[in-house]
Amino acid sequence: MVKTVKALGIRAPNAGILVGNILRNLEVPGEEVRFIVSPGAEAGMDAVARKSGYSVEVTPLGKDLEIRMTPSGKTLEEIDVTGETCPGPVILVGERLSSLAAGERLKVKSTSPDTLADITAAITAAGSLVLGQGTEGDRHFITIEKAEKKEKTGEPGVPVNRDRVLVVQSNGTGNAERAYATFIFAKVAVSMGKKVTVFLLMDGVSIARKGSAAGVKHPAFARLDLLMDEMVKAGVTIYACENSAAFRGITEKDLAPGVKLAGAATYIQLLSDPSYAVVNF
Amino acid sequence: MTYEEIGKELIELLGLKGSPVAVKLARTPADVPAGYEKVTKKERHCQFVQDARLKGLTGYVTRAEHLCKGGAAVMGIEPSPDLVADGTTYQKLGNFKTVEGAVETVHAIPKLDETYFASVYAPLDKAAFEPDVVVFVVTPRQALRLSQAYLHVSGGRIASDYSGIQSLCADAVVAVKQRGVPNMTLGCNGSRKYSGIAEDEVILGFPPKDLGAMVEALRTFKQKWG
Amino acid sequence: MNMTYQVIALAILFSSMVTGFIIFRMQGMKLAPHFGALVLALIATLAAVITGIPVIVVAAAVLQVVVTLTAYTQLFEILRDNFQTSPGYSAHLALVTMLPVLAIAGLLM
Repeated sequence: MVKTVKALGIRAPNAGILVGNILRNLEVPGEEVRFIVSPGAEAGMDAVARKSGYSVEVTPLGKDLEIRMTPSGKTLEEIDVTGETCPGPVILVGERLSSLAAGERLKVKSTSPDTLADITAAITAAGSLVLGQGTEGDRHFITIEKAEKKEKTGEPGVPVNRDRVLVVQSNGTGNAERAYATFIFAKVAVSMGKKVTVFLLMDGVSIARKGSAAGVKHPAFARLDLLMDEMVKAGVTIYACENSAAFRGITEKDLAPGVKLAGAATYIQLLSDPSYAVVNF
Repeated sequence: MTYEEIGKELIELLGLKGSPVAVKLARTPADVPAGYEKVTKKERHCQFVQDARLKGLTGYVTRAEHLCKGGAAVMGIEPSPDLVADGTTYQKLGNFKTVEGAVETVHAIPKLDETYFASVYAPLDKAAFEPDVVVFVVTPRQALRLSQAYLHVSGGRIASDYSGIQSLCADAVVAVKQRGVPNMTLGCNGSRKYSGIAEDEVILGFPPKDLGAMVEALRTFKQKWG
Repeated sequence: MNMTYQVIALAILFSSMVTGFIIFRMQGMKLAPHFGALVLALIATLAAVITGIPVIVVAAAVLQVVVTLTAYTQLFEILRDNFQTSPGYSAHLALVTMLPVLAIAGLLM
């Protein structure tokens, strides 16, 4: 957790004295501190940082300034996602962010600004912030600050958190691309901090039959059954429509690990829940 | 050292009029120290501090009892009144020539973002809780000794900031609680008018964790300087 | 040996390359063994038609049967559970299912 201290309206050199004193008197010595100060406070802050064993980064924050004091030796974490194709970058960044504490930062580099735009959409939806962007040589970069997602209240007129995704799959193993998309979207949603439910119906239940997904393989992706298994372990709920399964002679004992049978009522309840965004494959 | 010992020794070593005041902001009713009762009279935060300092007031104060809404607002006890937040109040009161100047100042006033249920007060030597801040209302000479005592162990300089408004609340409590370092302030029109802070008194807020070492330093000063 | 059947098989194999490529895109690597057999059968059948050498004709006929068998082994699971998408596979299956008949006819008649 990064400590935030507001010290507005104080100019240099007093701001530097105050920041130095705060760094010397931290409850957790050596912790990272983010100062919100007014323009004019930043002069001499690099000397204060050096003296206190910190490195400093000054960025505009509205009409104020953010002075981030990071303990020396603790460099900004970086990840280069150049060459990765969707959804790889979003998943890689999501996994790295999950290991960071709120307030910590990650610099993401790529030669593709479109990839960074996709990552921006994903991480802001998960509550984190993009603090800045720029270029370094042939690489574009964004700096992300991890934030805990704020829960919306249940007050009247306030929309609920749309933090769940329902992936509906009705094409089954007969269409490998759609079968893959089901679990790749699920994986991206999980990396964005969403709770994911996959509902298999009609031909979709073919994926639920034990061993069936093992026959679906694209050179660029892991075998479908492995991807499915990974999602089950990540907490994704997979339902197979009871009727569709019965129609194809699939019984409970034929189901792949982690798949549960569910009736139409479950499907309708999921569709009716406003906290779910629904994707169809 | 206990806060009772620290409080008593500070009074003796500095020759304080009254006690240092332990102030705590309670997030919820459950955070109010056990046995502390609600203060029924309606006053300003600076008055409660003075009552604790000079009359031994012990208790907690909720939004309903805080008469100075600006003071309660910076301590997170109630939302900031619009006319204070947009600078109108202080511009009309004559503190600032322009609304822009008032807004600039109001924006910079230390303010807690979290919401609090109540402020809790007690003389330090009687405080049965872990204070967030200890407030001293002292003469400049006593403020000098306190500052020297604070710097005795590690040296350096003290930076204090204030704006002549919202003094005992924002400068002496919120700034100190947020930053973990002391701050000195000269009071505001309200605190000078209502709470009986004398012409020759200034206000300092200290983090409680520093007080033990400060007492040690004051003992040394007493030996060396009399 | 009547080479007419081999010429018809060759035409079917050519067409199967097209329908096979379409279902390969729908299904992916699972069809690789079948596609491999299809390519080999096409080459062997082309060689048989050009040379007329009996050994090559027999080899082509065997490979044509293998093409049919691999189509069904690789698509069995899909045909079993996928009612809505299986029509997408029907054109290819219809073509390759002709091959065993033509292979046997080419050898016996």
